[in-house]
Amino acid sequence: MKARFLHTSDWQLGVTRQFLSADSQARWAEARFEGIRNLGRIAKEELCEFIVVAGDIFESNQVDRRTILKACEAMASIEIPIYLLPANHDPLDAASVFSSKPWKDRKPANVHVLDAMGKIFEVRPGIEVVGAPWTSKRPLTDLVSTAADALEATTGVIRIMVGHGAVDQLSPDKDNPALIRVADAEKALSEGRYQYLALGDRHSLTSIGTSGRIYYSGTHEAYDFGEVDPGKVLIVDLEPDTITATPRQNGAWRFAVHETHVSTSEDVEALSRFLEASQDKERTILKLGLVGTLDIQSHARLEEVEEHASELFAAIVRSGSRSELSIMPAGEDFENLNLAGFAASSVEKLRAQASGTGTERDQAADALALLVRLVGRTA
Amino acid sequence: MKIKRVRLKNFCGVDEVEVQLSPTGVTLIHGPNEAGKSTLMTAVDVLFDHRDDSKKEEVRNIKHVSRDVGAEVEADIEIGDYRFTYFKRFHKDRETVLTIHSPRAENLSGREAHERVRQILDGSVDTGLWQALRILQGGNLEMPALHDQRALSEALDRAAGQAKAGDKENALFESAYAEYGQYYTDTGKEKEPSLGQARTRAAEATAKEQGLQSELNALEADVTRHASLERSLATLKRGLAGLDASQAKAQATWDTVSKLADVVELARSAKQLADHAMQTAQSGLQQRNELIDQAAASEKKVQDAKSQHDQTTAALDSATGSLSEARTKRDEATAMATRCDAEESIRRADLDFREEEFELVRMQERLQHVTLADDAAAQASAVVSATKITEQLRTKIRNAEVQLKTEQGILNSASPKVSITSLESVPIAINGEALALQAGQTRALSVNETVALKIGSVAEVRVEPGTSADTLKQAVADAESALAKACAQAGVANSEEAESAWACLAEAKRTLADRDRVAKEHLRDLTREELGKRIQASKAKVDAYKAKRTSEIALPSTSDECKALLNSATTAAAEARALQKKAEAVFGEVQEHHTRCREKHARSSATLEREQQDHKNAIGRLEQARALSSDAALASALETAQASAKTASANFTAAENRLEGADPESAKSMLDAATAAAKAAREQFDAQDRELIGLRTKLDLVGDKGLAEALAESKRATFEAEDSLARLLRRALAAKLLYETLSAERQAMRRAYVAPLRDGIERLGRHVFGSTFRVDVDERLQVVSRTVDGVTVSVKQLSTGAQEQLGLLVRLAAASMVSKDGGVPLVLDDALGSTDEGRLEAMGAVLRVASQDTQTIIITCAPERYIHVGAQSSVAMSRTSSLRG
Repeated sequence: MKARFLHTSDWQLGVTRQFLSADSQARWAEARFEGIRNLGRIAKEELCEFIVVAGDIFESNQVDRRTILKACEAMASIEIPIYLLPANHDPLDAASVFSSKPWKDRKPANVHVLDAMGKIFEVRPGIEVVGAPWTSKRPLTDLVSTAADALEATTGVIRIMVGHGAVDQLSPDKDNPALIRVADAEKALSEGRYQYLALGDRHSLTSIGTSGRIYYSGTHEAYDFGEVDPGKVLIVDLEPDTITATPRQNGAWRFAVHETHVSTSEDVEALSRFLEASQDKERTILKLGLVGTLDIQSHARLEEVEEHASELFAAIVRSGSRSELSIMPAGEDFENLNLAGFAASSVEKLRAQASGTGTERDQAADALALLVRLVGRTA
Repeated sequence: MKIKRVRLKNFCGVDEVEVQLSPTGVTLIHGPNEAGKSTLMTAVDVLFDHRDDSKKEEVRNIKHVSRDVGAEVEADIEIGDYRFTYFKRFHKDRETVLTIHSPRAENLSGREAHERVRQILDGSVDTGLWQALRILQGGNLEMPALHDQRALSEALDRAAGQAKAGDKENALFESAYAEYGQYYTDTGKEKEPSLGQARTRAAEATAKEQGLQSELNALEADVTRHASLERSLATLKRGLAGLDASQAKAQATWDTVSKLADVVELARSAKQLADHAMQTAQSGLQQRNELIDQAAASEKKVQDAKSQHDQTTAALDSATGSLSEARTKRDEATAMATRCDAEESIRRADLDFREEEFELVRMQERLQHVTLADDAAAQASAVVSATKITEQLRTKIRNAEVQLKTEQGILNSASPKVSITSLESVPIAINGEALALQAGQTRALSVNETVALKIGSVAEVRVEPGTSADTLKQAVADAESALAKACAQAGVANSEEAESAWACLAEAKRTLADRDRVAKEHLRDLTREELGKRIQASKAKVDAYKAKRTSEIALPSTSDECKALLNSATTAAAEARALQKKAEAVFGEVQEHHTRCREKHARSSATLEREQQDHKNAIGRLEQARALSSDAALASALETAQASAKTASANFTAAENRLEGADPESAKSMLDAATAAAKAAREQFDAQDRELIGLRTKLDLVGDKGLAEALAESKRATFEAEDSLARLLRRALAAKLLYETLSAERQAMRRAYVAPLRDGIERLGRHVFGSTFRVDVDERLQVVSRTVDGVTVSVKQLSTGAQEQLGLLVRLAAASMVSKDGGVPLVLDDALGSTDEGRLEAMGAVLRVASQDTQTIIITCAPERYIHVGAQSSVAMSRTSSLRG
C-alpha cells in the first residue's frame, strides 16, 4: 500500500495587510488564490492522489462572499480530492464559513471538509484521511490526541491524520491545554493508529519530532514578515514503513526587511542601489529600518529614492520601531541660497528650533526643507 | 511709471480725445460731467490689463455708445528705462501695436506686444500700489491698502536701512504663502479641500472600522454564546430525565394519600348528614314548644287590651260634652263682635261723609274767588289795551302844560295892562263879552291881543298890543300846540284826562297783578279746571253716600257728632273682639283635649283588634302543627337521630387518623418540589433552545456578511487614511511654520520701516493740521489715529473732511516714497469734495510740494477746488470731446 499526496496549510484566504495600498493588497490577495491553482498544478505534476490542507483555509469565518467564491473557483480547478481542516481561524462554530450559504452553494465536489472529530474519510480503499477539526477558537484539549483516541490501529491501510495548532516541543506557552503533544502523536504513529500527521499553524516548513512522519507544511504563499522560507508545499510519499517528504516552492511573494544606516549622501545612494538591485519588486513587500541623521539635501534625496521605490515595490514600509532617522539642517544647506532680510532671519530662527528636540525640532526641520525646496523652485 | 500721453477714440462716450500729462507735478484734468475725464484712467487700465480680443465685461463696457466701430486707446508710457507707445483697438479691426523707443527699439504687435508690456509692468511697476493709491469717484474716505505693496515695501526697506530683502525673498514669501494656502485659510483655519477632507476621511474610516469591529464583536459573542448554549442544553437534557423520574415517584405517593383523603371526605359527609338530622329533630321539638308559649302569651295580651279600651271610651264621652259647650260660647262671642264692627264701620263712613261735604264747600268758595279775580283781570286787560298813555307821554303832557302856563304867564306879565275900574255900574263888554263889574271893582286885562272895550254906550276903546306881545302870543300858541299834540298822542283831551287815564291804567295793572295772587292763594298747585274736576268728584261722592246709606242708624248732622259716635263704637267693638278671642281660646283647648281622647280611643280599639287576631293566629298554628305531628312523636324522633350522629362521628375520627398517618403534607411538598424542578428545568431548556434557534437564525444572516474581512479591509483603509493625513499634516505644519516665521520676521522688519511713511505723512500733514499733527501707523501700514494738540482721535471717528484729507496725505506720502524708483502715478478722481475752503488752500500747498517728484493726475469737474495747487499743466475737457490738452 502506498500513498502520494500534497500537504499544505494556512492559506489564510481573505487576509488583509493594513500597510499595503489598496492596489498592492488586491494583488497580494489575488496571489493567494493563484497559489492554490499553482499547488494544484504541482500536485498534478507530482502525480499526487489528493491534497490535505491542515487548517486555516480562510483568514476568518467572516470572510467576504467573493473570497469564498474565489476559493471554490480555485479549488475546482484542481482535479484531485482536497481535504480541508477547519482550524483556529475558521473553526466549525455556529458561524463557520463551511456552513455559510456561498460555501454550501459553491463547494466543488472534489473538496471535503473534515468536519467531525476522528471521522474517517476514505480516499480510496486502503487510504484514509482523518481530521481533528477545531470547533472553537480556544479548544481545551489536544485535539489530535482526542481524534486518535477513537481510532483503531490499522493494517493494510494508510491513514493520514490532519491536525492544526502549536506542538508542545516548539511552543513557549507550555500551559496551553490545546498544545499538540508530540510524544502522544509519535505513540499513536507507533501504534499504527495513523501513519502521517499533517500539521498546520506554523507558516514555515518544519519537521517535528523524530519519527519523520510529522510535518508543518508552512503557508503556500508568504503571509508576513518573520516567516522562514514560506511559500512551500510538501509532496509526501507514504508507505507503511517508509516516508519521503519533498518540499516544492509554490509562492511568488516576499516579505523582506532591510535595515541600514544612512547619514551621508553616499549612504542614500547605496540604499538607492540596493533597492534598484532588488528582484521581483512588484511582489516584494519591503520593510526599511533606517537609522541616522541626514542634512536637508540628503533627506530630500532619500525621500526621492523612497518615492521612486514605492512606485516599483509592492510596498515600502518604514519600520516605526527600528527607524531612527532625523533631519539635521546643515550650514551648507543654506549657504548657496543667498537669502537676505526677513528670509535670512527666518532661516536662522528655524535652524535654532531644528537644533532642539521633539516635535518642534521635526517641524522646524520640515519647514527648512520646504524653504530649501521653495527657493529652488523659484530660482 | 509715468503716463505721458493718452489718446482715446470711439471709447465709451468719447469720440476722440488726446491728453498730454506732465511726468512730474500735478496735471489737472477738468471738465463737466460725462466729458470722459474718468474714462481716461479706465482706458489705461483696459490697455494694460486686457488683450484686444478679450470678451470680458470690462472690455465690452468700453464700446462706443453709438458707433459700431472699435474702441481705441493709445498711450506713451515711461517705466524705468523703458519708453514706449502702446496702442490697442478692441471690438472691431482688433489690433495691438507696441513701439519701444528705448532702451532699445522694438516693434511688436498682437499677443506678443501684450505679453511684452505685461512683462515690463510685472518687472518694474507695483500695479497693486498703483491701484491702492488711486482715489476713485466716491471713494475718498477709504485709506489706501498699503500692506504688501511691493514697491512701497522696498522703499520702506531702503528707508529703514534694511534693503536686503528683494525679489527672491518676496518670491519665497509668496511661495510659502501659496504653500500655506493649500492647507490653511488666511485666518489660520484648516482648509476643507485638503486637511479638512483628509481628517474627515480618516475619521470616517475610523468610524467605519469601529462600527465593523462592534458588529464583529457582537457576532463573536453570539458564536461563543451559541457554543455555550449547546453545552448547556445537553446538560439540561440529561438533567430533565432524572427530574421526570422524581416527579413520577412523588406523584405515586401523593395518589395513595389522595385516596385516604377521599375516605375522610366520605366519612365527613356521613357525619354531617347525621348531625343535620339530629339538629332537624331538635329544631322540630323546639318549634312546637314555642307555638304553645305563643298561644298563651297572645291570650294574655287580648285581656290587657280590652281593659285599656274601656278606659279610653269613658274619657272620650266626657270630652265630647265639654267641646259642645265651648263651641256655643264661642259662637255667641263671635256674633257680638261682628255687630260691633259693623256699627263702627257705619260711624266711620259717616264721619268721612261729613268731612268730604265740608271740603266740597271749601273748594267751591275757592273756585268762586278765582272766577271773580279772572273777571276783574279781563276788564283790567281791556283797560290796559285801550289806554295809550305811557309814563313818557304823561311826563310829556305835564311838561307841555307847565310850558304853556309859563308862556302864558310871560305873555300876561309882558303885555300892556289895562285896568278897568268901574266907577259906576256901567255895562262893559270886552271883545263883545259882557263883563259884570260892580262899582269900585277893578278888572285888569293883559293886552296881548287887540282888546275891544266897550263901555256902555259911552265909549269903545280899542287897545292894540305892541309887536312884542305878538311874539309872546306865538310862544303861548306853540306851547298849546305842543300840549295838544301830546294829549292827542295819549288819546286824551287835556292834562286832567291824561292824569285820570294814567290812574285808570295803574289800577288795571294792580287788578291784573292781584289776579295772580288770588289764583295762587286759592288754586295752590292746581289749575282752575283741576279744581273744578275735584269739586265735581267730591260732590259725586257726597251725593252717592247720601243715596246709598240705608242704615237704620240716624246720620249725625255734624262732623263732631260723627266723631263722638265713632269713638263709642270703636271702644265697644274692641271689647267684643277681646271676648271673642277668649272664647276661641277656651274652645281650642277643649277641642284639643277631645282630639287626644279620640286618638287614644282609636288606638286602644286597634290594639284590641290586633291582639285578638294574633291570638286567633297562634291558636291556628298550634292546631295545624299538632295535626301533622303530635308532641310525643317529635320527642321520639329526636332520640333516634342523636344515636345515628354519634355513630357517624366515630367513623369520621377513625378515617382522619388513617390519613394523618400517611403524612399528606410531606407527600404534597415532595410532589410540588419535583413538579416545580421539572417545570423550571424544562422552561430553562425551552428558553435556551429558543435562544439557540434565534442565535442560529441571526448567525445565518450575519455570518455571511464577511465582517472580519470587511473589518480588516477597513483597518487597512483607516491606516492608509491616517497615514495620508499624517503626511499631509506634516507638510501642512511645515508650511504653516515656514509661512508664519517668514511673516513674523517680515512684520518685525516692517515695524522698523513704518517710521519713514509715518514721518512722510506727518511732514505733509503739518501744512494742513498744524505743527502738533501726529499719526499712528500700524504694521499693515494703516493709519490708526490722528493726534492734534495732544488730542488723539481714531481715524473712523474723524469728520468726513478730515478723513478725506488724511487719506490723501497717506497717498501722497506713499507715492512720494516710491517716486525715486520711478514710482506710480497718483490718480485723484473727484477728491477733496468734503474739504472746506481753508483746508483746500492747505491741501493745495501739500499737493504741490508732494508732487514735485511724483506724477499726480487730478480729475475734477470743479477746478476751482485746486486753484491753490498750481498745477503743472491743465487739461480742459468738454462733452463734445475732441480736445487736446
